[in-house]
Amino acid sequence: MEKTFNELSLVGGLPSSLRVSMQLMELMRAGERDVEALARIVQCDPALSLRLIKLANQNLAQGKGHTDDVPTALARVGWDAAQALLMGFSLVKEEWGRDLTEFDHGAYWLRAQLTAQLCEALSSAAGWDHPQRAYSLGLIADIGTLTLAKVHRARFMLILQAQPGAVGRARSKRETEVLGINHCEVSHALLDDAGLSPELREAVLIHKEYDRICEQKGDVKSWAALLLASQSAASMCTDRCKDCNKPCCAEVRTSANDVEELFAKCCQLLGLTAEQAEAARVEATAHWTRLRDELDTASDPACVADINQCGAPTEDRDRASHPQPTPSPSVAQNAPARTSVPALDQVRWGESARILLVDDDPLIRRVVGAQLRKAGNEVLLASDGQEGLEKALTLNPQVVVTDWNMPGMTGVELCEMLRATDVGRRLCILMLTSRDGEADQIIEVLQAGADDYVTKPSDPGVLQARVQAGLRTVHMRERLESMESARLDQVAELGILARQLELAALTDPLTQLPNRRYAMRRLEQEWESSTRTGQPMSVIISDLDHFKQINDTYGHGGGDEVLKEVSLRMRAALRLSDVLSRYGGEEFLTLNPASNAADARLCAERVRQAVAKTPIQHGLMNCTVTLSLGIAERTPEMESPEDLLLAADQALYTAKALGRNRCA
Amino acid sequence: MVTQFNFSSSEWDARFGKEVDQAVINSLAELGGDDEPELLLELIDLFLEDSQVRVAALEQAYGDEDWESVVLEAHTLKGASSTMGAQIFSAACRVAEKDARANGLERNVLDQLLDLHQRSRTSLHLLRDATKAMIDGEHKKTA
Repeated sequence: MEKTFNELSLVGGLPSSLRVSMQLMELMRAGERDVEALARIVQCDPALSLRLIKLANQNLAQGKGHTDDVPTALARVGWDAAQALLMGFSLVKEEWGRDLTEFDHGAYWLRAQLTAQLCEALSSAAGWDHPQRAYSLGLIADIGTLTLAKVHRARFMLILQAQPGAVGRARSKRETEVLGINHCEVSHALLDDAGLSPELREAVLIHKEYDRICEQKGDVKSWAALLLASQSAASMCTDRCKDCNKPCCAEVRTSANDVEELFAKCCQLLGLTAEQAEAARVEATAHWTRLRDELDTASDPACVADINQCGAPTEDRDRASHPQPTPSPSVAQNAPARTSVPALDQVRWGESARILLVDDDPLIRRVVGAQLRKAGNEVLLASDGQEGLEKALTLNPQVVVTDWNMPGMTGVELCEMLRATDVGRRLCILMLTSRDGEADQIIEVLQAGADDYVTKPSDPGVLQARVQAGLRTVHMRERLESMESARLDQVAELGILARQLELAALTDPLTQLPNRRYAMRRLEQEWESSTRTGQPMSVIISDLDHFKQINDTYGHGGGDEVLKEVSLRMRAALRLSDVLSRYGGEEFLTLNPASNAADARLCAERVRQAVAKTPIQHGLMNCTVTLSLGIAERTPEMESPEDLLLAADQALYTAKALGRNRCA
Repeated sequence: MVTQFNFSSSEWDARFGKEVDQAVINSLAELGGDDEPELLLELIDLFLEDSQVRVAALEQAYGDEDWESVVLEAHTLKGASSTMGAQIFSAACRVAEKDARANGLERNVLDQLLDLHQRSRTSLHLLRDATKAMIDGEHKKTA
């Protein structure tokens, strides 16, 4: 039964990797509008890729086809729109790290890229056009996992804790129990929302179940097989380096043999020989391994937590982030002060702020850092603009105090870069300027996006006053954000509740099969889809023979047991794509999408035998039950789904008239 | 007890010279407070080390007529020295920065800067020894 992902409106800021975000900002800073470079960067990140594709598909109604990959999306939306969208990236925040210890973002990103590489290599080996489509699909196919991790943090962590390392169908089952939806269904909903081609969406929905892939036809089957092959190969790779302790190995997956077999079977569906498949797998994996090793040496989102614990490099480590409020001894009374310096005990007031101090001069870092700390603040340090940018985006400071004149990225540039991002717009930025700062300097500083400036050498009293002034706005924003976040959590919970209610409204409580309401809704959908695609469709109406006698003999409790057992046997005898529902008292309706009468007759016969074969035993009850089944295929004369049901009803009547326990 | 200097103006100048400001030095000592009694020593060392390198770089850049680098070095030196209370040297750096921004720096301005740098260093070395002695004295007292 299809689930509604009510939480779609909460998905907005799925986190991206820090490395990708930094590259993105670097490119924007260079100002060269290099579209190819932009595509390369975006294609490393599932969240950004999906957002860009969604933007490109916003005008689907204008008759352009679906956009499924990043380069096409970029060409369609143009540089400016892409820049405006992409600079709104989100990052994994500290609170994520605390709440979601079981979810390894670094591993998630690496695996998404590996899957994407494999999709591209395997599709090329199979001779498909548009390898970029395959790449993008591989990258975003598991976006549902990231989404659940964001929207249902706490519950999702419980799922991961209960079954560490469980992936694929085992985790899906648990997700459905707890959240009323699984990650594939969420991916499907997101791809739908982003306007990807229907065959890709469908492939994502079903690709975790090999049997279901085999039942499919055409493009959906190919895409789903490609995805499952790629994900199996990805598991083979990440399983193999289980002992190396790298983030990619954090998740232990199904046993290697299963995965290898699955990979081989899916590659067969793609029409690849074992040699071709292996060559493509090795190529993609090697490519990815190089990438992963590069990431190991570069700054990695997985390391964010570590940086945070250290606070700063050892040489200028934050020595007393929470100093005890000891009263400072007063300044020497008789000192013939040439400069007036306020006593430090007057400086310590207001609330403690989390401050990032960016300055290339170690002396200034030491002095200003000590001033801020003694005033009761928590201080993080960065020694140039680049480091400042990274830490400002990842370590959640409330205030950034930055030097103006630095080699490399200047304070003004740092300011402009930060203000271009969603994360950076929430900070209070104070710029340190030299004492002889003139009007045009001050204007430049404020125009670049700083909230205020402090002259050097900084007076600890003024510095603390400016920090406190900035903190007032930051606190207001934080209060709004925490209210908003509480509201969003409630909306997320409501999403689960709504899904559970919807499910209950469409499920028959006795047999747990979909009920008549669902069957009618689904029949309409299948009818429309068959009209659109020209594919055949059939239905089967099944009726238990002599059910009144069973009730009379064994009571209504016995009758209920029979209905339950019969529905189990029927479901097991049908294909996964067949929709079985409880239609009425002892009547069942089966929809057979993309099936003609002959296909449906095979199904019906299997069902009949499965029910009649062995007697149903329950307590003292031991009775043989049979079904009569009426089959009908949609014909050109039929005007509506009701005509099709009528035809099946007439066939059922015939089956009854011919002596029951048969198909007609 | 925080180390503090308590000299009259003339006494200070006689001991350490006019190059370094007593009030600024005292405020830095107070910044260290009880939990970081050696902060002042550390800052003096940092300055002595870093300014040496930067002044050399500035001289080199002057020779190469690389005005951009001269500006950057002079600017940084200006900030660091005023933070350390070396106000006169800081003023020389400010002049050098301003001139270099206009793509020119007279040799005599540079020479004056170099001279003031040396004198500030001498002062800071003396100050360093005096501070060390005071801290050690404190240690002995508490012991």
